[in-house]
Amino acid sequence: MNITKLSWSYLKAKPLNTLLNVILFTLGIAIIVVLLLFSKQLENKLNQNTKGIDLVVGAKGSPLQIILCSIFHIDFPTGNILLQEAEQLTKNRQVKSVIPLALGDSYGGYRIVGTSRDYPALYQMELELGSWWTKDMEVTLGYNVAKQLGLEIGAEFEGQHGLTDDGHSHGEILYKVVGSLKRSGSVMDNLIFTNVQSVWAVHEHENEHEELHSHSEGDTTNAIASRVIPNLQLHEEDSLKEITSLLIKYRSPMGAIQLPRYINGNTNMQAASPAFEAARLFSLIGVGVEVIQGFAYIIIFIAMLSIFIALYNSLKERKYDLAIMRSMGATKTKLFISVILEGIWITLLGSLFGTLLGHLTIEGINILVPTTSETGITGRIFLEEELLLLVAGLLVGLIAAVIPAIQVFRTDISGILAKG
Amino acid sequence: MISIKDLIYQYNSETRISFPDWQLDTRGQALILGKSGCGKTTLLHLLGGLLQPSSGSVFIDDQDLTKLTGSELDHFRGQHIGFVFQKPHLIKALNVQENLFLAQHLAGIPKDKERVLEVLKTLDLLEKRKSKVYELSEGQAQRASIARAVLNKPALILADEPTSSLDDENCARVIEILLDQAKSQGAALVIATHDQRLKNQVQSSLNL
Repeated sequence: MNITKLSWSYLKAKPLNTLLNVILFTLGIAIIVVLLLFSKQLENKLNQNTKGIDLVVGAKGSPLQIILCSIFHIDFPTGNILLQEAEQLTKNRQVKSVIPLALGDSYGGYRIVGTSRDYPALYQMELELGSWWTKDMEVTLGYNVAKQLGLEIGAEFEGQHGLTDDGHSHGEILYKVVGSLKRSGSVMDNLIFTNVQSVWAVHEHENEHEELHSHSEGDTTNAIASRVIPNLQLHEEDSLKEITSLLIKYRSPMGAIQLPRYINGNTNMQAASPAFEAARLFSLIGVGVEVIQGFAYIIIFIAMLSIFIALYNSLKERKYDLAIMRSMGATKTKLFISVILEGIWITLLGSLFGTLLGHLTIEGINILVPTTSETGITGRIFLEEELLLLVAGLLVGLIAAVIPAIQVFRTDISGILAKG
Repeated sequence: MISIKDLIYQYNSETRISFPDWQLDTRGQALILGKSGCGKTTLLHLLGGLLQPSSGSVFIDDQDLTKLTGSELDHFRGQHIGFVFQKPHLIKALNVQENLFLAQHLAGIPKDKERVLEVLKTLDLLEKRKSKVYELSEGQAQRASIARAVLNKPALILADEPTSSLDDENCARVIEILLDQAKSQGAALVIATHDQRLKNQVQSSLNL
């Protein structure tokens, strides 16, 4: 028997009170942990997914939509831009490098992205199996795509029109899997990569039924090399070719000032800054996060109050215990600590259960709502902030117990014992 | 063992009690008798260091209690003095043997289960060692509180009206156990009481 066990015994002697307080504290902590895991990871994902991209240029429309579509691959495109205009833009002095994106098709709910190798390189993607795409109609799969659809190297599939599962199949022209990528935790894991020409090929093949297409293969007389799409010779009749968007890296910070204004003012295209739009998005979510966080702090405050009241009342009933223990040789400090420990026991348990519950909640949401698991937010990581939360939790227990514990110093042992 | 001299306790500006000088030998047994309100409990608390006198001195085992500071006094009390009160006042959150383990811990004595079981056995409480406090009868609870008082082999046992709420049968039993335990543990015993039933049991007495 020591004071740690003693304080635990006192809590056990009032199981319902103790349970209520632990549950209250657990709830408060769990909500904070969920928000912490969610917002920290979301912030990381936002930053991770927008790094290396200074500007996205797409068709006129909502800049947030352009970012959501071209960076996070969750919204639909605002439309297409002419390759010709994109080519013009690359001649601008402020543009250091560009990456084309051609969207519109999907397979099994995962987007097929016609792009250049620079796109996965931007995210430092590495091959897990096979190779990168080289020829038309070859695809390299992101990690989740390969795992979820179970496609192996050499497998062939038809793309579906549209970005959702229910689009009609293109048929006839098949994509062929040549490789898959390692897990990155970024949006890359959910994409199917190919070159822009493949996306065009699928769509042109469809259009051939309607219009007579006269494409003169190998005619290089008036051809010029594309500055946007690698290994592409542009012919005059290619002037109507389209891509969805263009990811741009500035040559200097001056680009951030001049280029968006130039694009929005002088072209039919719309420029959107990933950093700015992501921050805007996060601040919108942030309001919700703050409201729920405030709610969690209220719960924790109520838990603290409840611990305080429970301890205060129970110490009133225990004044004989205190006096008797003093007569048995207990010092005031020892009894003071034992009361403080009662508060700390509750908040320690609450913090541990709350942290566990928070992580399980995130994992539970991932299981129940599969799309959230694709965002890469997981309950299996622990943040430094959670340690701080634990310390803060113990501090709350300490504060709740201090005033009741001070009664120990006020106890008039002789007076209490003389009464019977 | 006990020696008090010029002992005065001041309750407030109007009320003060002065106690006669008094000695008790090691292993001595004595009653403190008197009407209620005459300071029996106060003297007992002064002897046990629960109260500090306004003036005078209290020697227990050659130690002047008035010279000890707060926590020194707590330690001295834990190791040298055992208390028995009118009501058992066991810690209800603990079972019987845990109450005794707590007594060892608070006195700064290492946990000694054998000693606990030995004391429980002599007080016929061995079967009740894991019982909750509220499951005990009045007599059993008072015996448990005596077990707690003698557990650490104190030099002095102070009992405050230990029998006044008990019937004749229990009273006889409790006083017999107290005298018996004090003798076998080698402790001096002082009982503050107005219970006339005890007068025949203990020869020496201090009348206030």
